[in-house]
Amino acid sequence: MRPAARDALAHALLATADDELVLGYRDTEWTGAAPILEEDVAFSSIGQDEVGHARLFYALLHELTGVALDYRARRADEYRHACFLETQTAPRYSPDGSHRGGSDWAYAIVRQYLYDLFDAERLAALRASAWDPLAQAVDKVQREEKYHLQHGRMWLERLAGGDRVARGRLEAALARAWPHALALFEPTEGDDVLLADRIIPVGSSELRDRWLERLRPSFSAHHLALPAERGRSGGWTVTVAASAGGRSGRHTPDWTDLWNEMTSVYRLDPAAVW
Amino acid sequence: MSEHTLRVFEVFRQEAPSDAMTHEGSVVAADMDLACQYALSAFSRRAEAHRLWVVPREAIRQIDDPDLLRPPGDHRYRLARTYRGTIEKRRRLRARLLGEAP
Amino acid sequence: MADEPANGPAEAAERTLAFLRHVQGGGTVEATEWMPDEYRQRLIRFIEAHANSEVMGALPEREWIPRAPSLKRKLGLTAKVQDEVGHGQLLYRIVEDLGKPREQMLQDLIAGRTKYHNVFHYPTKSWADVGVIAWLVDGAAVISQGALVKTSYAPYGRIMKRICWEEAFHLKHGEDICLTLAAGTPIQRDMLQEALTRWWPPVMMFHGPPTPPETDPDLRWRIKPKPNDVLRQEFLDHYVPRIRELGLVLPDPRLRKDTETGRWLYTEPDWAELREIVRGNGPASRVRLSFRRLSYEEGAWVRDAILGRGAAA
Repeated sequence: MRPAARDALAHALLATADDELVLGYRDTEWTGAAPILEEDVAFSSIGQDEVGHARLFYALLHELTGVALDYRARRADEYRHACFLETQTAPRYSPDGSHRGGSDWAYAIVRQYLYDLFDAERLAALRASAWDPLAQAVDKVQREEKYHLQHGRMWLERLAGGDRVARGRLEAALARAWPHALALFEPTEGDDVLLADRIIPVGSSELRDRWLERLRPSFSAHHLALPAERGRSGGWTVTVAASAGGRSGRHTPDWTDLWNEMTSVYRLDPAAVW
Repeated sequence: MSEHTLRVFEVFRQEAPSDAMTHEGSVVAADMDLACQYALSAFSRRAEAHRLWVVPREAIRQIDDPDLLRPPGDHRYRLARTYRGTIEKRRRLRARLLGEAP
Repeated sequence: MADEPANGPAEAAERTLAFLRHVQGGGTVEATEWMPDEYRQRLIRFIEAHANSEVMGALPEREWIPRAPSLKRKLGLTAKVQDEVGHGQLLYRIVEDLGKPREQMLQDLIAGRTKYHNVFHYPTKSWADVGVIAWLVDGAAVISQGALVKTSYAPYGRIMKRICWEEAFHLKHGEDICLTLAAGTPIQRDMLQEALTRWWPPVMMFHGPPTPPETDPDLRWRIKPKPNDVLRQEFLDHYVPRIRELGLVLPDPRLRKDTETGRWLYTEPDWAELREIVRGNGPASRVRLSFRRLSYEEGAWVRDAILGRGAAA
């Protein structure tokens, strides 16, 4: 692999690992607070899977670059996840009783579903990578994602076909999600090299088109709008502006809160073993 | 909108291939698909299941009448241990055929 | 036939006596079998309190999931809290089968009408609390739960088997955190000692007052097979030496094992204080219940959607 390709792949792996970590972080905030006990347990497994995938991708990054990266030691602006994933959706406990409500289960489900479909396309592309360790690792991840995709499909159907409140919340969640979901496809640094060298043989706009294709049947069946129009020849024209920035380290205040919380115990003594 | 009810689904687990299915417990869900999602996360988090069965509780009929399960008549003729007399019969027959004392 | 209603009070009393002899002799009961009303009601209260404790027990620990200082700790802690929620689900399920609907149980909990374990009425202050809770609070619970495997109510005993199996890792995860802190920096060691000092009194109360077995109805019906004091002695036997091995100091100057009787002696906990706490007047009782209420109310639309209770779209 030429150095330019290695650098480009490092950026892509970092973004992937960060995506999984941050989504897993937000997902696991629902553990112990979800609307239905059985669902609490199920959704927690999904969140734990994502954190596990993050570990796997950080390890791959280590294998690629020879440098072990301690996620906890990084500055907030060094993270390359999509901003979509950093929004808090679970209720927030406060020891003085000023709990923050406004929890949004619909958004949590919508985000997980849209992300898992993006992830499915990204993983399929990584599976075809010329770099073998990546192709191998991805197989495991894809198989874990089966449960996630089943779960997301089930919830989409039940909310889309549900009562007025459920349908309304689903539509509101989707409308809020689109600019951020589209930014999942924001390219990482050097991704043209990855495409040219077949390290990741699918470019980001093609990934996005495939993702839209995946969404089309169920969205059409449920009369849900997509953020894009399909041309007669099958190409997609996006009609919502993506709110990009995550892949170059530009994040929202929710991320600052998350990063502070995530590193708070660690920063008591970064040299300590916990 | 018609009201669904939460239904109880019983979950059976097979630990290793060729093991019997054993009853693990139950989940409540509005439908079988969700019940299966929940059965997976409730009863196989530690990879303890090779296979699961998810069954609506209403599909199960319980039989617990002792008169039906263990009818009180003497049916020991169905059991191997009722035929222990064969040991003594064999001994006597052998003795007779060999011209020995009974 | 066994499960038909009794004909008249004399027969009912006779059946109840026969039932009592059955359970006291080690016999078990299934959900579909006849049981005296008093047994059913005591069972519901006992198991409901256990289920409540699992879901309330999730609260002190889930605060630390976001703050877990490594991915290994984050996963271990999340899986532990997930287990607690799962145990709550399994326990609420069998109480539902005894006749009390889940929604009613959750509403009673939130309204403060039903109880949950004392230890979950206390705040957490540091990462060391996470280790101490997983090792010692779960440790105390495992001792109770190990005994409950032999409960007279068979569905409860079967769930206890699964719970004990799942909780095995909770103890190791907690012990691992405590050992790491004990072997760590001075700040970490102090953090651990401070957490232990704070948690020791609630942990000493965990198994409940030394109620004489003859006056404990849960023992009489063998819902609970072992008296509180026996469980506490088992806990002390197992954990005191292991805690001291870490170089930690237990904050009770009277705590020692009487070598003649083999009994642990200690400063008697204030049982009046325990009664106040489980009544909902613990240091974190209200703030925890208010969070439970918040998450429950905000999730109502989801339950309505799944059950088709809302207005058509």
